[in-house]
Amino acid sequence: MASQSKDRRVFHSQDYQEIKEYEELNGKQKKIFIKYLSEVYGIDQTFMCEFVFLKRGKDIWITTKATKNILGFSRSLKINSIGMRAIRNAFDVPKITTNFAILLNNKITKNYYNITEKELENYTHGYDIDITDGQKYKNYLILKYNNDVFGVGVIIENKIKNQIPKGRVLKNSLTEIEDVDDD
Amino acid sequence: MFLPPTFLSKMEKLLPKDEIEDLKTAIDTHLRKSIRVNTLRGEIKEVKESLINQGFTLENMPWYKYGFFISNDKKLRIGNTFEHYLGKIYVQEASSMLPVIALDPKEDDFILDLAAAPGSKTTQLAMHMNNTGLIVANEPQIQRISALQENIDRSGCINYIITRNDGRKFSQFKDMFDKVLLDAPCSGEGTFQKDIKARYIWSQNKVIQDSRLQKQLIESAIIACKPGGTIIYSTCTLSPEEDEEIIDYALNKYNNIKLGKITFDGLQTSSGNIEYNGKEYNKEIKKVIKVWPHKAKIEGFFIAKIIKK
Repeated sequence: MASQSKDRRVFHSQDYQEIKEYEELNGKQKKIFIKYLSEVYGIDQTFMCEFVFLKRGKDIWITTKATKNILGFSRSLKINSIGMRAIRNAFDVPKITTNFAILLNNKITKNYYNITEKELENYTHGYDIDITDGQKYKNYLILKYNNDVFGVGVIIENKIKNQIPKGRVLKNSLTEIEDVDDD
Repeated sequence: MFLPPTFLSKMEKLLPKDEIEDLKTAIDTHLRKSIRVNTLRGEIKEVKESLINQGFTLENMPWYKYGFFISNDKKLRIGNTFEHYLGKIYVQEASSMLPVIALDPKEDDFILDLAAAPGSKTTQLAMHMNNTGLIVANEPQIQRISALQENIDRSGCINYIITRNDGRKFSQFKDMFDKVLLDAPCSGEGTFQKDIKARYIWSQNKVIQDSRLQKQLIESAIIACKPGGTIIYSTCTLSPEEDEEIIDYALNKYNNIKLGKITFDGLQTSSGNIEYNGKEYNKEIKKVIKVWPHKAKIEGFFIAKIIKK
């Protein structure tokens, strides 16, 4: 059985309203959200106050304070996204995104699992990791190797289920894929 | 090696005879692969050391401390390293790094990136802004948005909005942005070196079509920029119809703009042509920069820096 549960959600589901447009979290919601990150992942609360958090649908997005200045005028533009998606499903079973976890990196001081070199190889190639003490961890677990966060896993019994987005999974060896970022 | 005959005859009007062979040879030479270290995610020293330990050779670009030419003897793929996975590096052509260097983004700037996908320059802007301020990264083509989003996310940027509009719409936002980057859609002659398909797709009709759109986009960029702000117009092409002619058009239409000087230490660049095909362009155009593959040993490129008075 998955160890994450609805009592770990960021917001109560009865507070959820369908939001199609981005909307800034109000003061109370921001406090709850920052407290959640502090309790579950040990993120310093003063550090998180520097950012603006937006909600759209059930997800929370992180961006800079400068975004506030254009939320008004941006209504006349077709907006695809604002900032980085930080948490999926904040009104139900919240899931920290791989990108947000990597962004937070060493600010994460709780609920992480140090993986070995072999586990890192397997994990970054899309495989699950077997562990023996699954009950020790909550919700979505952060995976660290040396000083870097590599991603997120979810504990299902004694297995860390791989959560790397498909496009990011490494191929079989260093020599097998084309280099593709550029225009 | 195939090169479109019309393209070659155009180049003959732009370059001295003895350089045409050099240009053809350069286009047929393997392009050096390059990366940018993304300091939002990693430190230059740490990334460099790690890649060298894995068997890569890195050569710093004299004009840009974050840019490196990269090679290896074992056919290793840089895109399959942990550095790439974590967004500590971005695989980016050396020429493609130039427009952002010329724009000189600062912390807390409000910047419009008018044609943003796949995001090399957007993520480079975010890095120079240290994830502060705001970038409006616009990309009209929906099928290119997911690559843009993925690259921005992997690079750890949060100071952006991705919009999906025709770039011409931004003329509605008068005097709004501190800086505007218009890396315009173009016929891609500069990419002939790495993209053989591009040589076959190229046509003079496409050049003319692109030129029309580029004139409209540059108007949007000029209108949307604040007085005192900077606009960078760039293309990865060499045809004057898409380069000098666009700047000439802007200089003739707007009397509140002037051109700024651009320099890149250690990179051999040429100034813009002030005459082409019987047309005489504004003399200011000498200030724009043309990057010729046979001289600079990187992809062909064009950059103009416009300052709004």
